[in-house]
Amino acid sequence: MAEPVPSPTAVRVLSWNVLCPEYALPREGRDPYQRSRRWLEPRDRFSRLVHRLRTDNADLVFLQEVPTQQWERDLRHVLRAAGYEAAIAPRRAPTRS
Amino acid sequence: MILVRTDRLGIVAHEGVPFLDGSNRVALLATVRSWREKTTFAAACVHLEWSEDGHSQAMELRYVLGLLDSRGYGRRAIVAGDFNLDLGASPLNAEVAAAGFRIATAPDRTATFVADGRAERLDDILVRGLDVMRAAPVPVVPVDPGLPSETVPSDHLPVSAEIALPMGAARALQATPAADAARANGPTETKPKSSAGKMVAGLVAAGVGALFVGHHAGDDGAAKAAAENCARSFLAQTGPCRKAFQTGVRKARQIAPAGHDLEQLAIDALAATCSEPRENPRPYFVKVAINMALAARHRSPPGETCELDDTIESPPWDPVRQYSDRRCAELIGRLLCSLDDSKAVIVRLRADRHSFAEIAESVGSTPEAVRKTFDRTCDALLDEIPSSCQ
Repeated sequence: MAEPVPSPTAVRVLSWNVLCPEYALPREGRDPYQRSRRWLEPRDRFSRLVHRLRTDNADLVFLQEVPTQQWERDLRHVLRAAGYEAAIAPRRAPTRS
Repeated sequence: MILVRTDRLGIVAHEGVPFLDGSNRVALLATVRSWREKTTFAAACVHLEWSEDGHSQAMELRYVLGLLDSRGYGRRAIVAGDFNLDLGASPLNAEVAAAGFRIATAPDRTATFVADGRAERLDDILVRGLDVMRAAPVPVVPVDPGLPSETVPSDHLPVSAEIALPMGAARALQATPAADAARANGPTETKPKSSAGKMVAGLVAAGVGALFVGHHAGDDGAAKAAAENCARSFLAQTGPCRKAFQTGVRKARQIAPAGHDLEQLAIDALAATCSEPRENPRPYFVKVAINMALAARHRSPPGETCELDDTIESPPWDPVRQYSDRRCAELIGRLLCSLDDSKAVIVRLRADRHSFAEIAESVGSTPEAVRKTFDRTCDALLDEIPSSCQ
């Protein structure tokens, strides 16, 4: 007898602009994150970001505003250990003079 | 950045394509493979440039959707990211729909950017050729104090949806009456003895040619018929391309890692070959099959993850070294890409520690000829690579 064939199943897809660390730094003049500045301490923020991604446990994740350097330094190892593989496209040297 | 859970999906290939505005931004496009359904689809991660009138967003989204088509990513696609406008309320949505895409996120258009006294819908997920099973609601966040917050460490909320994946051709093969009958009857004397021959017989019996060209050839009737004829020329026992099919499968088997799904590889290579008219599709198919087998060899097997040992200290971060290594890697990569295919295959197989005899068997040459080609190619490459990278 033939093996049962599974019906189409779903993948959970998540997209998130995680806020570039550079933009999260305190700025001179008006601070857009003045009321929520306490949640932007870098080390704590990255760990909460990873925690959130692990909790959501999506199969396919699209992240924006992750600099390559941050990925290599803070995220790659922990997300790989959580079972994720990444495709990244580093920004290129600008062609505009 | 695109992340996949390796026990569920794999990234077959990806590329960063620069936007045309002269900036350093790139669109990230990937081909993603589902292990369970044995099917592939395209994924594009976008962060569109903001402009008040939406002109930049429209230009860049058109560009990305065009890339998916012009670069042969196929019909099934997921495009997600920060669109920097409310796509649902934008005239751009009509263009998106005309390109076959629809918004996969919940229709309530709750704001996803909540900061700086503003609340706007900027993030979305688009799908084409795939069904949306569930769109997760986006929670409403008060503008004051807004984001970031303890649970959302960004000024954007994530958006998510559950997308149904269809079964791939190899998986569907199990479900067809012809395949059931073949399994029930067991092997017969008329069945070809070679494994490539068995594969052809199975594919033809199950009508897979028609099945997969339906996925890959789009909706145009003439193109679909041409693609199907092309596929049958490879699959039919008396087809003019049958020998090339057997050669491609044989070479792929020699290169691909043990246990790799060769049947699916053959279907994927055939779909790529027949997706557009070619004067002579035979060598193209063989080349694609070899390249897919090489890619499978370089990729980690599904489900394999690396458990990191916390006791091993990371090396100190050295940006100069990192930059230098990357520059060398890119240079060597460019040089390898500039080789013609016959040389590139030999270099890659040799790098994978195949013997000259094995490579000769794979490329249909003699070990001595392969050795000479390899030595000459390496000499030429070394002349081009600066000593600091050697």
